[in-house]
Amino acid sequence: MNAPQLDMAAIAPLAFAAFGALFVLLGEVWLTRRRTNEHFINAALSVLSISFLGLSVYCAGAAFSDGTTRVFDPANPMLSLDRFAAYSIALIGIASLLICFASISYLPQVGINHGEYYALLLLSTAGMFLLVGATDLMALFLGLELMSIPLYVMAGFDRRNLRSNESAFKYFLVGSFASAILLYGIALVYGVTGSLGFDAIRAGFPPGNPIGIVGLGLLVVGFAFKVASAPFHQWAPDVYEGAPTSVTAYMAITVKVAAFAALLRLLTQAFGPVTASLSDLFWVLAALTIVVGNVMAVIQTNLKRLLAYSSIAHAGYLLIGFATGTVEGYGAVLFYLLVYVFTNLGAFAVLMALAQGGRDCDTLDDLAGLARQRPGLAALLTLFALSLAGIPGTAGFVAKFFVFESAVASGQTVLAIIGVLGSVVSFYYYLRLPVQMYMSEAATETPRRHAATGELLVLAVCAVVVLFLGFFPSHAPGVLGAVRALEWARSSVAMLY
Amino acid sequence: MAADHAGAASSPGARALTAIGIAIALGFAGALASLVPAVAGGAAPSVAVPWLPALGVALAFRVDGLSLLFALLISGIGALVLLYAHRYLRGHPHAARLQLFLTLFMLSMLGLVLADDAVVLFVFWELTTVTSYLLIGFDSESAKSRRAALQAMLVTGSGGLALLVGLLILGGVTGTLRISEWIAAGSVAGQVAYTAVFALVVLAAFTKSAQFPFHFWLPGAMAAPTPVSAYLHSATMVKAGVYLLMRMHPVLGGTELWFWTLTVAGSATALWASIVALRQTDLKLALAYSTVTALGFLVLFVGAEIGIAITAAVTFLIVHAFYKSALFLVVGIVDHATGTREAQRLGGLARTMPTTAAAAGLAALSMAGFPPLLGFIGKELKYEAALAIVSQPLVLATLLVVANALTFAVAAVVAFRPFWRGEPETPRMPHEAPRRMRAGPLLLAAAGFAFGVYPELVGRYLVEPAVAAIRATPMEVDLKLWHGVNVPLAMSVATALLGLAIYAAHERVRAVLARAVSALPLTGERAFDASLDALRSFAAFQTRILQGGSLRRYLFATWLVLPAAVGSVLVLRGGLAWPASPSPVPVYAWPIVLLVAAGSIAPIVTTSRLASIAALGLVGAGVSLLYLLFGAPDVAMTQLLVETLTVVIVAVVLLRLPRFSGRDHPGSAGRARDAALAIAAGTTVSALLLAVLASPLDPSLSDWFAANALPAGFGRNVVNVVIVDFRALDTLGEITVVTVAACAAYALLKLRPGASSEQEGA
Repeated sequence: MNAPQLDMAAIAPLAFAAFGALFVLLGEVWLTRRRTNEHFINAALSVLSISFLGLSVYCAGAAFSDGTTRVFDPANPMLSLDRFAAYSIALIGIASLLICFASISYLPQVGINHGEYYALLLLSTAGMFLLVGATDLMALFLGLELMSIPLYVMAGFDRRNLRSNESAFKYFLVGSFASAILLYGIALVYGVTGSLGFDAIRAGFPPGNPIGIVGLGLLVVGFAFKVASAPFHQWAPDVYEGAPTSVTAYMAITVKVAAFAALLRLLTQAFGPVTASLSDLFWVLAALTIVVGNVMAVIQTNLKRLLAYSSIAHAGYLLIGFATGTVEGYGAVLFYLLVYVFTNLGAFAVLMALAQGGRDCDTLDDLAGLARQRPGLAALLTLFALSLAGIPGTAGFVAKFFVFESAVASGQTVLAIIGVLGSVVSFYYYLRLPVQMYMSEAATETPRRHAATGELLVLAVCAVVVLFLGFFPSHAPGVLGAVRALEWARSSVAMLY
Repeated sequence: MAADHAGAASSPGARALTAIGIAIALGFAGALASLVPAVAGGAAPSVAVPWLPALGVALAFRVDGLSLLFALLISGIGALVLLYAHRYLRGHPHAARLQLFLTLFMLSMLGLVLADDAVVLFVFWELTTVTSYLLIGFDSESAKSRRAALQAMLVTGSGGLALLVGLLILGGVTGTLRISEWIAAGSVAGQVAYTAVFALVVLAAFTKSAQFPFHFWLPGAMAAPTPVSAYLHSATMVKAGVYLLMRMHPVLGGTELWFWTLTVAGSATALWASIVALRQTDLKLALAYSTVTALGFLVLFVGAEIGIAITAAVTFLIVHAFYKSALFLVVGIVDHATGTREAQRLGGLARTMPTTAAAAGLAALSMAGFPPLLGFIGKELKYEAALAIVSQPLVLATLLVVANALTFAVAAVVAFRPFWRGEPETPRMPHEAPRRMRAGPLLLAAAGFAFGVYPELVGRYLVEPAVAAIRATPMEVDLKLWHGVNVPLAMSVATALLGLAIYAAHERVRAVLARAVSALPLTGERAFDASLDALRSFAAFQTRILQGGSLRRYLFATWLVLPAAVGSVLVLRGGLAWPASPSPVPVYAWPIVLLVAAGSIAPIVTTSRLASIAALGLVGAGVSLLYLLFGAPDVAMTQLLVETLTVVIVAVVLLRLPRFSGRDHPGSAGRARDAALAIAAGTTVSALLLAVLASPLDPSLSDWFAANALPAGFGRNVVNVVIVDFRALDTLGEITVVTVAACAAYALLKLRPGASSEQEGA
């Protein structure tokens, strides 16, 4: 039997993340034996994770500019590193890497300074890399589980906290449920096509077969759980609220990117010819998600819950792109994800920088008087809130514009109007953040800590991206404008066809 | 806000920002003024830089008669207001911030009126909303101004988003986002999308320009410092809606829908606001409502197609900008000097503040429409237009006369009575304002006078190009002070007489109005509050229903949706199937079937967790017996093992949980609901299974294994051969994983703190 011809470069980002996880686990044992202080261990492990993630991102970046498609095992194509995968991997990798930076000071502040954190984060990231590169339903499922199982643990990472426990338990139950639905869908699709590979499914999918459609629908529902789209969203606020803020950020940002990217690949590469028949399903999902997310965010007083509903609403805007079913729509989705990562990460990083003395900053009241005590953080949080709301001049506006524009161009005007109305409602709750920071005073004044270097770095990166993509959408040479980013996103999507 | 920080010096930052702002304003004003002759000659200088070429969006700007008129007003009045505000807030800790916001607002406003690209227009439109939010909420310590700022932002911001959708649809219809190309292409009235575009654009314009029923935010916005009100709420921001309507006139105008919507809304706004304006005792509020009146007039005349109406609108726009900003600035001075804006407490100020009084008098005469001021020309044109736009002008003319008479009375209350009647009872001794504060109102009021005496200049260079741009056809405009004795003049005389009568009786009229207005069940403001409350209670309701925190509910919602979705696909796509020749159920299988059915019903009936789990185990055992009966002993074996293990593990966990009671425990209604849900899900899955069975099975894989099991794997049990031979490596991997997981679980159990002591206790 001949040894298969394997292209190792195709799994380089995945391998770096996975090996990184093992190194971090070993490194923790090694360092703890030497009884150095806890903060040093934490920082060292974080730097180790960042280096491995950096290597992954570098590989993905190289693959992206190279533009060729590398298949890990050409005889049995299950995993490939192409432009689309490279774009998504780079995005996920950068987000994870920045979260590691911000965690260096956050974890000790809330007293959950354990090295497994970074190992779990890297494992989950590896799962996401697998998920977005999978070209086979089995590999897809493996990636999904590898992404999810470490997350269940991370959600309960603050294990002395009942809420964190509840969060982990709920996430685990709902997540397993979603996996089961997804598996059912895979089984049905396999039943009608006789294959699991995307290309083979595309060739053999019988159009109009109700079982195939049910299978595809169940697959979509499985993903709808993962991205917290209504009516499968209920777990998200409870889980986001209970988990430590850095984990919430990780869940809200990277999981959404990975799941949306994988869904996008699935719908174009495997189900391209029949995706049009799902347009109505996505229409309903998008409309429901926008309404539910925005309306329920209005009455939240807990910041993490508020951001949870906001992320639900953003999932709704993203689903608009899916409802269009056009290359422009999908391109807008990928661009939106880019903006989503940096805007949300910035907002969460501010919250992480405000955690101190074992307490998370997680209610609106905790923000009172921030503008006087930490004007820089207040200004940044305002910037991110405005970008989330989609105010012109920020990246959030450009992203929303592309999505709504693609919807109008493909005739989904009603959906675009629903999206716009949702944005109107969202002004109301996003504006409460600056109002609270600038216009009210704290009842009891506790001195706030200074933001640490890692947090400042994350905030700076996010702010620069949000402003640059918002202000310089042009082709100015040497400037990362929205146009170039959109071109990246579009070329990544176009490659899937 | 009586911001008097007299004696305190202005900070260097505030001074620098003021200087920069004024320099920008004057620079723009100068550059634009130099374009006046060219634009009057019919040229339209433009510039375009690609911005989002992928979407056809460009940073395009274009100066035609209409944009030029607006831009000149914005930059000119902007310079005066900046100068005034610098002195008004001298020593205020945030004076520099105000100047910065004012300058930013001015730039947004200039961008808005000069934009030639729909997206650029929208972006600047929203930027004016954001900067006006900052300006209205400037006094951020006060809850009232925070509320007003938010209200203005929500009302005008949502209008802005409507505008975006409207413009995008229009872009889709015409294939371009360049506004000048839309205008060149002409009306889109015949298109299907016309009504939608019209509704969205008009909504945006009405919210921004405070038309009934969206007018309520404007009086609220008076919480802003007075220079802000003078700038935003008289001359610039509130006119943005009117600008939009004028801009879109060639594209959307000329239809019945356009005419009636604008005429009715405009006249309703004008009449209603002029009545409410008289009710106010706060000078600033009275001015705010009279601004709403003026905006109503403007919308009313933009609705018409004929040249005289447009001329009236443009002329009145200029008139109003001059006198209203002058009066706002005067009220600011009065407030500054006396400490109050209450009409009843002010009087006889002309003695101590002669210059301010002169400015106020000139502006008020223009507002009341006396010759030889520009206001007179504006009013005559309005009457002339009102007589021409409808065939039966009686209603419209009466309405206009009444509204103007009320405006006349308001002008007298605001700018005549405080200066020349009665005695002051003010908190502070009145004194004349500093020179820098007097300059603005005096210049603006004087402009109203000068242009009234020499109207030809304004008519030729400002009004005519603007009218030509709005109607997209050149038209000669000849402004004259004296038109001879005609119907409009008679109406003017009637207006003045009626206005005098109302002024004479205004104390009594005010009392009647106050009672009448407070008796109204629904005003825009109350509707706004009610809709915010409704949103909040809807959100609370939704949260109660969907987000109780109970996992049972979440899963319930999921199970409600899934069978419905799957079932509807099966029904709609013809997937329901019944096996062609169902094999008969053997007699000995019936008891097992009944056992399984009983096991499924039991969990719904029982209140014990353990019993539920045991019953579910019964279902599993029954199913494995069925496997056995149908000749699949290996599958039956696996199923039985898994079932047993599951029951044991779950039972171990359940024994440690508290009793199943309280709100988690469903009552009889809850159980009926659960049963219905279970039946629905079960039916759907059964239907799905039947559908799967009905479609042909791909036999290639099973045939291959059946054919190769004996020759290649030397075994007759195909499943065994697959596990230990064909997929042996997979099996090894699985075993390894299970072993490692078991080791890890054991280690965790050993490590659990207090594990040993608990065991002793148990």
